[in-house]
Amino acid sequence: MQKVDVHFCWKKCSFTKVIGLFVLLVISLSSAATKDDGYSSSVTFHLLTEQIPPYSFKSENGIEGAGVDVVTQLFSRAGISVAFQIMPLKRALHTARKNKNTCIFPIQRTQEREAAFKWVSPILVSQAGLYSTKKSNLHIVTLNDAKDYVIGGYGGSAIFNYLKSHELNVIPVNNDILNFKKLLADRIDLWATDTLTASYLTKKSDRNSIKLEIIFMTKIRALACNLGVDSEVVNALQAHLIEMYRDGALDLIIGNYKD
Amino acid sequence: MKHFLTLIRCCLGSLRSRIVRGSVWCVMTLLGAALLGGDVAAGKKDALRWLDSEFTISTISRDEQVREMEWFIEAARPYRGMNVRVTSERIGTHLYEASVLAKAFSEITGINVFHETTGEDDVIKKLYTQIDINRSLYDLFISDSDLIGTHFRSQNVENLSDFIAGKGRDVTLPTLDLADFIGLEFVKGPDGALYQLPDQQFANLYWYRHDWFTREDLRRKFKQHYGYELGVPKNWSAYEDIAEFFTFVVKEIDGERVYGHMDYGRADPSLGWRFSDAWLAMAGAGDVGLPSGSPVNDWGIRTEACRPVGASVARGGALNGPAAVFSLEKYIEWLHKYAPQNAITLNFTDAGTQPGKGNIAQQIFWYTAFTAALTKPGLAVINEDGTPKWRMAPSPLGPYWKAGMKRGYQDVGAWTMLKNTPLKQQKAGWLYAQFTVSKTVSLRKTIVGLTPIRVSDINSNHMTLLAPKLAGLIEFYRSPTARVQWTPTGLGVPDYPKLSTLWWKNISLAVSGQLSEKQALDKLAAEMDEGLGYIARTSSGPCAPQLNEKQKESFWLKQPGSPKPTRADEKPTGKTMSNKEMIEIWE
Repeated sequence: MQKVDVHFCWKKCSFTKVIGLFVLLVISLSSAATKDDGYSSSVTFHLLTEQIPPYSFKSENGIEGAGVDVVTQLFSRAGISVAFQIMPLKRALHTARKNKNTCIFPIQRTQEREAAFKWVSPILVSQAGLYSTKKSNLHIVTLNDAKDYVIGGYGGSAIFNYLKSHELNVIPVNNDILNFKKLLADRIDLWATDTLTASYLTKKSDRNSIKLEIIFMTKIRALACNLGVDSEVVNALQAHLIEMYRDGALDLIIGNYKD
Repeated sequence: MKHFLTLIRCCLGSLRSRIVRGSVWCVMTLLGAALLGGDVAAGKKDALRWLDSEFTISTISRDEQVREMEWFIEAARPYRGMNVRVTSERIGTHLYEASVLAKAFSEITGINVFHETTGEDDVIKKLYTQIDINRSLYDLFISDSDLIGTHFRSQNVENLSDFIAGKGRDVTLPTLDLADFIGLEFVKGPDGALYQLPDQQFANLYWYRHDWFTREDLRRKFKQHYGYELGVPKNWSAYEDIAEFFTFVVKEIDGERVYGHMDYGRADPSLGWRFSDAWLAMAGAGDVGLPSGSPVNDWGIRTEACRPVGASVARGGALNGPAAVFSLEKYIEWLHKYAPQNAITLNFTDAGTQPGKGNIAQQIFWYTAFTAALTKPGLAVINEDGTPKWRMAPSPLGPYWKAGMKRGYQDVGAWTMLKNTPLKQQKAGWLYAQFTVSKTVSLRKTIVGLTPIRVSDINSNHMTLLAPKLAGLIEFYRSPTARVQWTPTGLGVPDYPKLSTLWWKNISLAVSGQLSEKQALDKLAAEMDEGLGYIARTSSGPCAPQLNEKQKESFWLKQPGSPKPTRADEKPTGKTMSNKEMIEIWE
């Protein structure tokens, strides 16, 4: 496990953004120092996540990503130290269900998962869309319009499952960047992915060659904690999260991964 | 047209006077107007195409349909090219809206609609996320009218009466005809204001195999065992007898194992709906008075004036009273004894369609939203001529129930507009919302989804012709009494999203055997009181909760009405109803 106290995006941030984040960090640290959220700060929380760039991924700097930045700052504001670990989703869900002081992120808060965890939400709000190539001249207004086309999706993801459940012809791959390449090579007609992922994965490519047809889904991504986690801790994290939306910290973090 | 001619005259004037900037502006505007005019003409052509292909049946004439579409095209002019995002629960009606009506509206008006379907629980979470983080995620939501008690108190939702009369006047359909909606009272606050616009409506009724119930051999056998006729049960005693009869006496029909009861018991949010959707009212735990029971409602919450004052018996509520405990005991007993073994692992969705497999004799708690799914040709419960082998009927009532109380649950999925949505988005979204319930499209939508909202649709000849294939649905909706005796969670629940989660979390402890029924309800009632107390501390307003002081339970149990003391005989003689009696109930 990689222990992280404070995590930043030094390499990717513009100067203004760095200054903004610095100010927010000072606010959050001072708030963490003065607030007593009613639990011991000596406990380290284990935060599990998947390899899903740009939300969380391994890099030469350790584990980073938009989701990692959000929860790092969130726990920092609550005065709790954390350790991150990347593992496959199924294993992470199982581990978080079984172990104390363990949480998983950024996952969808579904009806089926509701009873298994205590929730802090939304740590991220993302949108899923269908992308085509500009030269294809497709005109997609509803999901029904995509029924005659071959769609590339990230296997096992909520987006993939959603399209499958609408009986669309969606072909899975195990790395979303492959869908972008397949789209450009005309091996698929449409690429189903979330807008932040598309923006991030196409950063170094000719993104002008693709076109967003429709946004068909908004996803609420959450932090799901083991049922044994003290409710006061969960309530405190939830309150800090809302504060992060209100003071602009969330926008600043997401902005770093857009363009 | 008049404005267009004025514009041309103005431009000619500018050109004659050689006012260069004015001329350029005029030419650009004329060009824009011409393009827009082209779009509008295309919209009219598209509207006629949709009327000829999809909206071929309607309760209004074709000329009236054309005029309604022309109104939409004109009203949508300022919003052409805009994107509108809406979300709703994933049932047949909304899937039709998302795949057909959204496309029709986009082509006719030029406003692009993205209609997302998801779980009802997710819709509520997204609605409250938008409020909590103050970001506009969707322009409109279709959410249950169960939230009306929350909406009018929170003031985060637009008062539609004000919107229609004020800032949304220019985008409100003149032929909307609010008086034609059957569920309008369910989406009004105590101030009489409209907070939501009905989009679809369904009830919770009794489901049974009419073909088995009318078989002479089975009727004879039942009478031999129980001393009365096999028929639609009037009370829980008869329901229990019929459940026992099919599960343990009949056991097999045509070589297949059959069961006298179907239900669900998985620990997820839908287990909560099994109780919060009026199970306690059906048992008779609350008070008389419509729509929800007063002063104690169908959640067992006592309300004084419009203030909730407690759910536990100690505070004057009935959530852990004898009637509620009895209702939970029966639910668990029947689930274990009479339902298929896997029922305890199922949720609301699984259990709703399960009777379609052909091995269930009756289900006491069944949502009519599953009508379309259970009338599909080819199912084991459908005759070769397409008529169903099953029927729906009024649900039997528990031993604590008294005349004048609500008989069951009915809910309206309704368009809900948040105040933190920008006005322009609200207006464009409101146009789409009205399109989905307009008389031009409403009858077609009703036939596809079978979740009627308009009197005109229900009374139409098309519905009369369809009635024999719909197993009693039309009879239910044509009944004026049914429309008022089956009601949603009412105004007495001040924060539905927060309080509703308490149901399944505590009921599941009794289902799994971790707590007795009484212990689970004591815990639930205490947490409900705590929740009401929290809302009281964090909100203000004339209808905010204000908890009663705790008293000895005996104090409240001695008072007239709810909470009611234990009945000496919780299993009176079983009673079933004749067809004549059933018709009388609908009347």
